[in-house]
Amino acid sequence: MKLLRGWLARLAGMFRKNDSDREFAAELESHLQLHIEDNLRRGMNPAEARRQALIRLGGLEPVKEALRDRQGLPFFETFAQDVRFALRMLRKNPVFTAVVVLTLTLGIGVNTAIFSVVNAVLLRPLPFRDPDRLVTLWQTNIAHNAELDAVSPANFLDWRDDSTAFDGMVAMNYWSFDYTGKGEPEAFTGELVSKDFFQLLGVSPAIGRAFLPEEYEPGKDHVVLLSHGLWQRRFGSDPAIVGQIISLRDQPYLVAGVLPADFHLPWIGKDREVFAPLAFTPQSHQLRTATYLMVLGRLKPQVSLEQARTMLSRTALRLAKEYPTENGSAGATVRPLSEQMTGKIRPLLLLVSGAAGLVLLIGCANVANLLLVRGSQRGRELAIRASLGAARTRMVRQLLTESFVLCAAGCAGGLLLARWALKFILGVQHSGIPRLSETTMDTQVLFFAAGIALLTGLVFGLVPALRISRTDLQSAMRRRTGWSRTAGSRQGLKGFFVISQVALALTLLVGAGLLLRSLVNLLNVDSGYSADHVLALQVYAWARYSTNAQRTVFFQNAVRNLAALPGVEAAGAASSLPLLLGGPDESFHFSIEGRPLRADQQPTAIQTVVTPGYFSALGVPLVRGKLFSEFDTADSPPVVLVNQTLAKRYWPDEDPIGRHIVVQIFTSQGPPVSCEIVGIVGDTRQWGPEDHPGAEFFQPHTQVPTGSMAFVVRTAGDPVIRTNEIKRAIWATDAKTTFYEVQTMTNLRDGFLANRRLSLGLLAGFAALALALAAIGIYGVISYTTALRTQEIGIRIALGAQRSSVLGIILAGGMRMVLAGVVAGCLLALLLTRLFASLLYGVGAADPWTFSGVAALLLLVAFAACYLPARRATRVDPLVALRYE
Amino acid sequence: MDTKSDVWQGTLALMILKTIEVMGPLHGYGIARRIEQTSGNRLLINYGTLYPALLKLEQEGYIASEWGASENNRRAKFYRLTRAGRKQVQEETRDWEKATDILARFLAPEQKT
Repeated sequence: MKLLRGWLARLAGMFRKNDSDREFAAELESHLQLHIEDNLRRGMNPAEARRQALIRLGGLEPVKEALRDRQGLPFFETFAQDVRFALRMLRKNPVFTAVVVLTLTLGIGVNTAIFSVVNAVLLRPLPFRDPDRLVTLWQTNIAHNAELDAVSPANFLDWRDDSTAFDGMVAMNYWSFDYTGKGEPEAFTGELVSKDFFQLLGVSPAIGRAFLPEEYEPGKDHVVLLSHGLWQRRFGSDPAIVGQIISLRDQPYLVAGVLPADFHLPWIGKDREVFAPLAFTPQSHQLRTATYLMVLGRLKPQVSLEQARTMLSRTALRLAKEYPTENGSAGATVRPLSEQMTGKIRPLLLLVSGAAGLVLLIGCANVANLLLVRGSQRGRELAIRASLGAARTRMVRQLLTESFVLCAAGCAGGLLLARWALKFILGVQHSGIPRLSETTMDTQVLFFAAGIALLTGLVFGLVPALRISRTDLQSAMRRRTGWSRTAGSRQGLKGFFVISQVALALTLLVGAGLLLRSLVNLLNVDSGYSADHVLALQVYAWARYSTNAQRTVFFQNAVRNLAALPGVEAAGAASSLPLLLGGPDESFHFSIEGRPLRADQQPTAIQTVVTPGYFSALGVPLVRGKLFSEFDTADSPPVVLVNQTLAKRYWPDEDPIGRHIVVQIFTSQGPPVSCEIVGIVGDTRQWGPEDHPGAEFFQPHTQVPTGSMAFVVRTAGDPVIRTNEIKRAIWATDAKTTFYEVQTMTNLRDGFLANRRLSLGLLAGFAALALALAAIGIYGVISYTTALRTQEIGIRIALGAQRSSVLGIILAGGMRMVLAGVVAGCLLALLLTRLFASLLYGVGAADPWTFSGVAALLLLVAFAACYLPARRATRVDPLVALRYE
Repeated sequence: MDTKSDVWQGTLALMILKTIEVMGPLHGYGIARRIEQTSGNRLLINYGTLYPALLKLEQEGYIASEWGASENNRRAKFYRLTRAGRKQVQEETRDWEKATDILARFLAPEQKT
């Protein structure tokens, strides 16, 4: 308390220095007078009286000094004084200051921006109770090489009953809810969730109630929870909606409540708007081959991930023995939710953060070099101060203060830059990075920025400060140019900085180059279809049309209406499209007529139901045979088309046309049907350009009248502007049709590559920054060293040296450093690029073309950075140069 | 002069406070002279350290100062005790007595108990 009060008084004292100085002087003067009078009274003469009084006081000035120190806070005053001095020095060198602050702004800015993203996506815990214990559970299947398969209802129920490792296990099933009420009909995306879903996550509704236990029973499950967003968007934030009945899927549903505003499922790209209970029927207890559930679990506190995995595998093994036909090749695995969510994006983000760190390092090296160069110009100033008695620590402190002033400016600039950069990053469409939208510049980010600013201040400030303050006084005073005598060792340090800059820049360039080549390779992959000008609209027509005949008619009419629209080149519909919802599933069992069937080796493929117009709408070529036509009807003989991969896989040496495959038609209850292969169509890359096409067969919609279809419309121009027209054409068939995903195929494709584009864009930007910084660094050092050698160069030229040979000497010196940097950079890049080999496509981590191209680019830039100052040096007039001192 | 001691570290503050408590408002020179007198001229105050000590006490709120006229009509800065200062004198006196008492037991000729 007493201490605090003292400090406050001193803090206040700092700001009334002048007043208190005057007061001290007056007080001491009055003290002297009193003392002198006493002395006079004792009989001293006036001069002696004053002298004695002064002696006893110990001199006026030292006491004033002691009082002054006591009055304020010397540490802060020195700091403030240093800051003022630093500001003055920096103002006097605007170019130096601008370059340094800009460099730091860039370095700190990119790192802060990237950290904000990493913080939101990877570091911040999920908004659920104990998110570390949450895991996802998956089926595996050796037969189709599936590591993370969705789970079948019967298996989920058995896992749940058998589980000892979990505090809870719940399943979710993607579900869509056709809403027909006020306004346009719309499909709400939603999830059916099994019992205890919200308890498992630790979430309860903001308004209303959660589902009751009996609502998880079939027939009582017509009850929903709305997301906060949907409640605002479609129901005008009206709390009275709770307890009311709304029409979903043409059925009455009770609105039980509204979920909190911050509730979302960050591992799912698109937000879910409606949640309903997942009720298991007696049939679902038998359903083992249909895998469509996403399963979440909460690990018991004392159970490790490994233990849970083992225990679940044991259950799966038991089920495989019990149900060899359905579960023969099925296993099970556990994956942490956070990993499931960020698994794909983590390497990209780490790569980008690493690159941002390198940019900062290069920036630091640059600034350190600039400080060294400037320090040598200030040699005399510091030498004079040292000879006047300034302690070395005091000078280091002052130089460090200057660094911190620069850093503070860089930090402020960096924060502004980061804000701007974040706007850019968040603006990237369809990035698919989970939780990216949660990115904010919160206090953690501010601390991070301040932290790296402080750290960089130390890194780039300390070495030059220590160096400079160790100046040899005599030589510094004697020579105007500072320390040409000791230039050699300093040169070494600057050379080191240049070499490391070049090496780091090369590493970044190689990284960007490899990513660029990967992206180009991916863009050049022929996906087997043409995505331009194609709009896809997904519909679920099950609820509106309960019979096969109704569905057949609806899709036939709708496609006919679409094809008749002016400007529409082709229209069709298909049950699955490449890339839609991550792409279709290669797990549909079929058998080949005339070949023996083995339970564990049953052929599987992607099964796609299409209308005849699909192939021309998506631009998939017919290789051989014929396509479907309107003559393929429910009553005509069943037919299929196969893609090239399927044909090659099962008929490697024969012509499959005319052969039959046997498939279960899931829209009818009958036995499997034998279908004749009438044609072979081209492969499409269903899972994106990175993956090879899967085996696929197509059936006409008339023979498998499913309700889950996507319309595919190819237009003459931009399809987006025709969206409403296209929707209206379908509404002309049925005004209550609702659409789920409405997207262009190019959007789907771009979304697939968006993360790559984003990381490539960032990395390329960083690499360009790095190159520029390295070039500035080289330029600065060469200019400085040639300036030091002006006299020597003058003598050489005066003695008859050719300017070109002088130029050669300087260039050779510079390029030696650059070459050393290039070699070091190649080694570093070889080490680092291996870490992100999994992100590359069609190019090796040690791709010689990229390495040599990048090295050549860097050498060229470095040469220019050396050449400019070198040429200026050789233009020097020998007479001027000799007088240069 | 060699028989005179310097002021022990840390005791000057207490001496100042006690002096002001006894004498009432007093200027710096007066305080110093009074301390020397009280010690029977056995203590020699370094006037140079007195003023920083006064400033410190003032900053800590134990004394307050104002300008006034001295006995022979010179302008001088007078220090007086604040309420906190009065309490501080009592506290420090108690502490000091305790400390000297303990020390005295160590230094006293050994007694059989």
